[in-house]
Amino acid sequence: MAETTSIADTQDIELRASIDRSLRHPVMFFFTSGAVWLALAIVLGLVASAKKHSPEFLECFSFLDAGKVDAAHMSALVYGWGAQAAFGMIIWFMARLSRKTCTASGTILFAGHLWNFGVMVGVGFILAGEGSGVAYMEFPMPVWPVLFFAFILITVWSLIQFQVRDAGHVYVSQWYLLAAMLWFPWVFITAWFFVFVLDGNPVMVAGIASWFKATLFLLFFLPVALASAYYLAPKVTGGPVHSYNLALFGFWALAFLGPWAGMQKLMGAPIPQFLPYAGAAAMVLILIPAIAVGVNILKTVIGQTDVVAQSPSLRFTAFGVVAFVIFGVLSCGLHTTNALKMVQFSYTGYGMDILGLYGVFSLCAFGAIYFIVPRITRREWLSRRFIRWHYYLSLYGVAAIVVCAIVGGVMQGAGIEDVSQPFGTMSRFASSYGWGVTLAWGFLLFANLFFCLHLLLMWARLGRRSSHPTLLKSHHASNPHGPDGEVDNYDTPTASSAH
Amino acid sequence: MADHSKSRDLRPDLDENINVAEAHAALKAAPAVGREKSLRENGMESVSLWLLLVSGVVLLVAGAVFGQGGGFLNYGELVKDGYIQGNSPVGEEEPLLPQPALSFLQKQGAKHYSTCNGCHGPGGAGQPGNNIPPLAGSEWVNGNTEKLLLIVHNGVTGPISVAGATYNSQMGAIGANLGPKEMASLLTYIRTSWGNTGDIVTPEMAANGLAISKKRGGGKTTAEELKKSHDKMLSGAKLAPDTLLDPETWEPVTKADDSQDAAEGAAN
Repeated sequence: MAETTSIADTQDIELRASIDRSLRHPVMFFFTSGAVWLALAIVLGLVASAKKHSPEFLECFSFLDAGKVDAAHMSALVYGWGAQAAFGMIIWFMARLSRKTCTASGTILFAGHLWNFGVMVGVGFILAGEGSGVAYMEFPMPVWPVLFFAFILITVWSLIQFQVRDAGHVYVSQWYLLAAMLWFPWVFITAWFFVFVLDGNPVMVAGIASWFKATLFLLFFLPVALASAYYLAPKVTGGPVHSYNLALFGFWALAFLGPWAGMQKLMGAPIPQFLPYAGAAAMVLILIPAIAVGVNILKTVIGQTDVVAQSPSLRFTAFGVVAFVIFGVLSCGLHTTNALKMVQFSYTGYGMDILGLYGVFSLCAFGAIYFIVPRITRREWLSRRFIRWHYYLSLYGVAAIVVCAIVGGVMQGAGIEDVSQPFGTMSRFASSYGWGVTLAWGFLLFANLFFCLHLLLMWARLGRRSSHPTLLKSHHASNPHGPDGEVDNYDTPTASSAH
Repeated sequence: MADHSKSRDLRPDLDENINVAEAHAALKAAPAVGREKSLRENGMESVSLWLLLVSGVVLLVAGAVFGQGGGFLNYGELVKDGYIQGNSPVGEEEPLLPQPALSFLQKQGAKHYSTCNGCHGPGGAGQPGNNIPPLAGSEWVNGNTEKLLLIVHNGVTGPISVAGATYNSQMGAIGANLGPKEMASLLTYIRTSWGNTGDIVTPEMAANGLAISKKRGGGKTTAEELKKSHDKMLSGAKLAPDTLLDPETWEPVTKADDSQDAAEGAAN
């Protein structure tokens, strides 16, 4: 292990350090503002979930009506946290993998502020009751071009870096990053055009919106998360990715299936009949890339369980990858025609959204953030305990949301299908699961308080100045230098330098 | 671990040029960067058989789902038959519940009476001053139904004695376009309103009457002709006023299949 570390030569370290330095402001901006948006999204999610089982909760505030707060919650989660975390990951990973410093960090920072401004205006309009009313595209129409412009300004430099890279070899993570950067504009422009510009049939507009929702996850958030997993797993363990062929297989399976998904939400609605069935089939097939990626990443890290246990980055990433496999299995089961009929109008869809956005994407993003931030701030994370709390609360929180929403959704769907029962019985059935979801958002709120506080302290350059990484395992017994952080020893790479 | 270093400069995030002193100086400046490991050559394991088998099973499931969509890429078919719930709860669709025959036929007939309204008046009193006979208390309305139907369907001309007075005028074939259901409801309406004491004319009776009228060959009737050859009740089963009718088919329903019929109505 120590051998690998000492091989790293001056030029290499200097290049990496200069890349990190060139990107430190935009990346830190994306991560910190993303974390704050995540905190807001979780508070809104808590309120939105509470409204589902206790409608009288906070009813004195009209801007927190169920419809508004639900839309604001998802929008803040997707565009405030998700997109910004993804931008930070894209620009950092792409710069590192293409070995190019960023020359446009000022522009990216400006575009980041523009994006934040757009999201803020959009969420404000939603809470004021002026949202567009299209699921997942709730911001009013004029916000979307601003967001798109900001997106182009943020990512175009990464495309250029990829284009002018020296080496010919394209690493797996780069496929995913490149794909995410090219798919996002396609999905975004198409959905925006058909929903807001063309005056089409309203049923089809709902179909396009649900296509957008599915593809935004499958073709943007998921590829960024997988790029991070394919980067961190070999990087932290020092081993090679298990199989190049499997990586190719998983990537192209996702690329081929992703664009078909989404319309299954409109099963039974009067749109051309094959569309919802093709969507359902694509969602069933998502299990294939999920298994491919899951096997590949987990086999990469499987021999090094102690490294996974120690490294915050790898723990979060491994959990995110496992969540993707679970997502694939559930997606396969819940999108067969009989199951879909039952859960189509229930909580289940929300459970799958959260499993995807929080379970898969966000956990991989946390892993990436725990890896990237010490490099760009040149400080180590302050508290092992904060990270551990963040990890366990996230784990239990997201698991509770997914279990409650999916099991509750199945019960709810069964209640809707049972015509001999009045509607109210079904609602009472589901409301106990609603309580579970609310409680779980509470877990996530605590998790994110630790995360957000920790990140803001790092942002304020209050991190530890040390050459010892903050790992999740105590080394009091084995580390000759004493507890982490107490002894500074820049000159001696330690045995525990896996991270 | 060092054996994979040959082609490293072709790979991203990695260069090789060892200078320990400089490396340590750089490490000092950026400790986290310095302890990073390099990305290594991808493993070349082949895709395992069980993974391909699982993918095949998933592919089969997905194919079954897609196959249920029916015609491939058919833009014409919008909704697959039977996707929506077949059984909706009883009592959800108010207008489609079975209704008592008398009130149902009266309600339907009242719509058609608006045509008669202009001459015979909303109360069926007619306009004796203008030579238009009343319907209320008229023996032609309360009495045998065949002649009544022929009057409505073909019109009437010449002197006619109604409720003790003789009228001599023309009535057009106002009801020439009414089908059996409409005719039945109209006749039931005028025979049971304004104190009239007639009974229900069923669509079956009206259909028989229209057949007779067709055989007769058209042309306005006269009181004399009606009295001579059409002074009888229309043939057909009588209907009690509180028999439940299915509002879709106008057929009587028995209590037992009420719910079923209503449900069918809802599903249609």
